[in-house]
Amino acid sequence: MSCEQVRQWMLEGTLEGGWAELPAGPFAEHIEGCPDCRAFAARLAAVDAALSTSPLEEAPPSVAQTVLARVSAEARREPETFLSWLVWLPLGSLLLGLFWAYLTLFWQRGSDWAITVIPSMSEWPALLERWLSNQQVMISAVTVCIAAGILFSVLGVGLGLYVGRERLAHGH
Amino acid sequence: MKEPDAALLERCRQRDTEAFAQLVREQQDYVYTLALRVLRDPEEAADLSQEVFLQVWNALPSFRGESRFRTWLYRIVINRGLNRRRRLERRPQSVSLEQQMPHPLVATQDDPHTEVWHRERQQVLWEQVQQLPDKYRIALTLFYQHELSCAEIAEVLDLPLGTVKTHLYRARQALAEALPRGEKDVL
Repeated sequence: MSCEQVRQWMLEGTLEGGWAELPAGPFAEHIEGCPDCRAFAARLAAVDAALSTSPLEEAPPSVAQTVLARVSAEARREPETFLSWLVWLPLGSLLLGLFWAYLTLFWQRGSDWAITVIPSMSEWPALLERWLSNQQVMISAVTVCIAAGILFSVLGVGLGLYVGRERLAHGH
Repeated sequence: MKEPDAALLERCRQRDTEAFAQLVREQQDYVYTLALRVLRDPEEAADLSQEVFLQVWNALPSFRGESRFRTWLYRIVINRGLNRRRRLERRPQSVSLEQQMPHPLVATQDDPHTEVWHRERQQVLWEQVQQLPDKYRIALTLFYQHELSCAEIAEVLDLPLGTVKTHLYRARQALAEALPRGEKDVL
């Protein structure tokens, strides 16, 4: 058994189990008969003993004082919100987008597209039939682009918020 | 170090400032020590510790406990610390090695000669640790001072387990070889 093998075994074997876990046998015999490996084992054990008993650094009092002062001030300022910004921001974007799309369509197609009053339940089938039978209704590329833009902006905001929240939760 | 109490974390999530104060008191030395190992500057480490706790306060409501709290906490320290270090490296700085050394051991039952020898050896070793590359120095700190297992260190550093073991292997080997000859045979 070579010195290199013995040292590799010492460095790997003592990593998790510690020095108490080393079994007797050929390694122990080698260490007993090899002054260099015995010295290395002593130094490695000394490293483990010294580093594992080193005390933690004491944080300056200003750390806790500053943090707690800011946290308390923030807590006093935090308003009670019905919905978290993670909900109302995408929701607001969606409503704004829909309103914009409605105005755009009104501008493009004329007043017959504008729903000036909310139809009653009994009027919906007739409205739908009229819409389907209207051969002149062609969705223009501009309208598709606008709708796609709205959709992607809403998805983008939602995705951005989700990724931001995930990164925050995972410590980045 | 043990994981903070689940009830305490829940109270912190509910924005209980007194609970958060307790959490800060429990964790601040761990956070500061790690920050100091990353930045090697006491003032910067204190600033970083404050930043970390403020981030924890803001992010705790979204912390779902998929990883252990202290793993999450140390990851914040290291990520923010390394970013801060990159910014600091762009400007000249001078830090004395003495400032970075851990405090000497408190008095023990050992005889004074042994205690002095032990303290001196610790100082020599930490001087050596400070010379090691980041990846070794941080892994050693988490292993010895924060008492994390190799698997937990791998989670904190987002590295494969084998890589963490290799870092620790090489770091310990370098330290053992750098230790002055003629050390007491402790086996």
